Amino acid sequence: MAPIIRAENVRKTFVQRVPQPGVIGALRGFLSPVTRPVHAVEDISFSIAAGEAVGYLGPNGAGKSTMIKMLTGILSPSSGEVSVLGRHPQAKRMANARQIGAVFGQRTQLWWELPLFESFELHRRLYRMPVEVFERNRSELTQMMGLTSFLQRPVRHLSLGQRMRAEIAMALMHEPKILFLDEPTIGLDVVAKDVVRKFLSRINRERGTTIILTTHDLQDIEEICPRLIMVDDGRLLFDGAIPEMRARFGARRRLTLEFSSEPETVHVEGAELCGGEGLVREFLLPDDGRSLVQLLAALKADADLRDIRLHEPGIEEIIRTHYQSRPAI
Amino acid sequence: MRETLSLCLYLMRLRVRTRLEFRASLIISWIAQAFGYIGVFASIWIILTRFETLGGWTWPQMALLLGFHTLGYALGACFTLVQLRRMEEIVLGGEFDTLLVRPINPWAYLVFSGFNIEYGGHVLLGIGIIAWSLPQLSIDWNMATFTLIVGGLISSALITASMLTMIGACALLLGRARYLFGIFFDFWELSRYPASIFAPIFQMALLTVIPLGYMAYVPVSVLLGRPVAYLGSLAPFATLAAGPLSVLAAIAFWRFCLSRYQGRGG
Amino acid sequence: MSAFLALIRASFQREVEHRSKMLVRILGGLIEILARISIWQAVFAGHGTMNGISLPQMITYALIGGTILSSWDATMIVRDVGTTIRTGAIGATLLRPVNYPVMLLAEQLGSRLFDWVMTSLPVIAIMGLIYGVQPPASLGHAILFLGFLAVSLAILMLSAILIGLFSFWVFDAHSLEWFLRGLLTVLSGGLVPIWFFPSGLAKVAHVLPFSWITYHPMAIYLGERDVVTGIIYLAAGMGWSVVLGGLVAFVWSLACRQVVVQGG
Repeated sequence: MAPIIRAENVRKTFVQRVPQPGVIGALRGFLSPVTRPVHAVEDISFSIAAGEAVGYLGPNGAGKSTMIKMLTGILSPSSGEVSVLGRHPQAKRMANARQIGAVFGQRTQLWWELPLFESFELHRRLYRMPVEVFERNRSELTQMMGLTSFLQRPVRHLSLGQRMRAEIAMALMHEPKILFLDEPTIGLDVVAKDVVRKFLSRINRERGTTIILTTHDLQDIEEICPRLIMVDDGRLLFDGAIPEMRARFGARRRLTLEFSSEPETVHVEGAELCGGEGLVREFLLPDDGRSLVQLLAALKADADLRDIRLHEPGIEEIIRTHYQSRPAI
Repeated sequence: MRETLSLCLYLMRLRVRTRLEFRASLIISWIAQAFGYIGVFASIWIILTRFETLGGWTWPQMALLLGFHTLGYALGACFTLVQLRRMEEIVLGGEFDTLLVRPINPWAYLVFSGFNIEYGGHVLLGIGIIAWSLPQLSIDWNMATFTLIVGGLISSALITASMLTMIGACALLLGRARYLFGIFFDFWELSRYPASIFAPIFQMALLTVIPLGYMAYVPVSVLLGRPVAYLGSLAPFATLAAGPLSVLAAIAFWRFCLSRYQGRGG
Repeated sequence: MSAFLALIRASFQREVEHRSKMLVRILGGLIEILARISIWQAVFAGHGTMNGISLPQMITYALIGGTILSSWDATMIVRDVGTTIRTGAIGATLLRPVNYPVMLLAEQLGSRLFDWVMTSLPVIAIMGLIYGVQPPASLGHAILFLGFLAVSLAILMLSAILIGLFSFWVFDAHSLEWFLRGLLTVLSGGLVPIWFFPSGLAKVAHVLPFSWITYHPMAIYLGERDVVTGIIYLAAGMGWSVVLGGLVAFVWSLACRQVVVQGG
């Protein structure tokens, strides 16, 4: 199947002014600014097929938003090519806008002072939707998102969670083929996050809407996106499924042993002792897929075992290890 | 085209309804703003009671100039000032990006969704002063003078809107624009007086690069049969052309800035 | 007192950091003064003097009255107070050891002083070179003028703070700002000195505190009054400052009660 989103050797370089110290410097900077290039995206390529849900992950300033902005037609790449639904998204901004939905976590697209349904009505007119299609989508989406009871309420009276649900529902109202979300769960409480995640993965499954989301929160990705694109410092670090990433980044499982009396020597073949004191010892396991039974068989200790736990690393941990090992800039 | 137009009207209706929720504060702000202008106009009136004329303009003539200036400005500013003065925040806060992902011209969205009825005070004051001054002036009423008044007011509104648009567009390029509005208003205040009292270089500037002279001075001079330096008999045509020309310049400049828009960086 | 000085210094420094704003303000000042001088040149064209005032005197009036004695900043204070109240930041200011109006006064003094040095003086220097500026009428007048300058500042700031505090009850500082602007434009004598007013209006404007903002100080500067009369006017101005100060304190205490009742 042909990809609906393609990025080929995409680069985006911004020119940033360097402020000069002192009054003289400021004056000089005013007349002939000192600038430096900032490489927000450097040589990134990927392609996404219709119906995929992809998490775009990276720390602040990694170039996540810049990529989303290029895909939604806000910015154009400095070099390389992006194509969305077969178009150049910026050159054909209007046509692109009609077929995508976009949600920016920290910026509302709702009309603050008016009841929620007015924002939906405005959306209908903006996207020139036939009334029947709109009515059908609206009742379906408001029901799914549990918005029905506050359609009449001014947006400024909604909680952040309610607003984000409304925001997402609105972005889907015109049946976009692709939904872009920039930090959709930022600032939400646990319950609201859960509602949003369940909803997004349901939309992806049932409607086949392609979802691209950027996030800090790895749980978003674990629950919504089978595929992960990880960037750092403008570069692509990883593109693939989550289990693959564990293997790639050598994420190691952790084995915790608890003894009934303090052991003198503890040894697990093929594992590395990494901590513990008193009754507890911890080992890091290589990614060899041994089961708990096999591990027990490899254990040599001079005290009785009371408890044993095997801990699978979350992506959070994997990424933290990666970023910690990254040389400081 | 018809659909775009009805969408723009719908946006305006939404904004007006929003503002009408606070009717009392709206009326107070109309009165307050008119009062602020009356302070300045009263000062000019005081000068004229003492000195009789200002650069050869009597008080009723001067009043027509002030009324025209206020009304023309209000008609342009209600579509542009408050919303485009925020361009700096709109760009830096990322709100502009959310406009670019919607299938609408972002300028049209900003302008019509921000349609500001707070200029009611300006409009009433402007119309009031014009209505008071016209009967006291011997104006030969015919099709030409009528065209000049209506066309001149439209031109005046278009000049205001174009200049404010261009200044707002600077935020797309520089990230900053707020201080430029300050400079605009400094020149705008000059343009409420007969331009002939200023040094030649300012007169020329007000008729060319900063076309605020056409907001009131040129059309009112023509109405009153007063000569306009540098323009001569071209003055009535220049008045009617200045608005549309400044719109073309504004469109070109907005497009240029938009094509170089770089988001907020990060 | 040292907290007061520290606040003045802090707001002065903050202003220094906004340099492009400074250039714009100088440009704005130049244009505004140019407009005023052009108006006086135009109206004096057919008259040698008017009510005993000559064109060079009016140019000096426009130059000094339109810069260091300008009432424009007053509206900024109203806006500041309004914003502080609307955003609820007022609650935080109640926790500070310094009384809010006093703090406001200090901050505004800082930016006003900055404005004198960085905007008013360059504008006076540039326009003075082009159009000429008169020195004070005499040494006595000059010294007296300094006293008037202090009174002018006090009355401007206090009346702006007073009006600003009303936004506790009238929730729209924007409108208050426009009212004050209209009021001060005429009554301070900032644009047109009161000696050109029609006599009825002149009598009223003469005794209201606002005329101490621009008109009375300039009348002294230009030597339109002798030193003794000047001292009497200065005393009257100080009296007005005290009255306004008392009013600010009173309205502030009412406002504080309001904040406590509403729970911030």
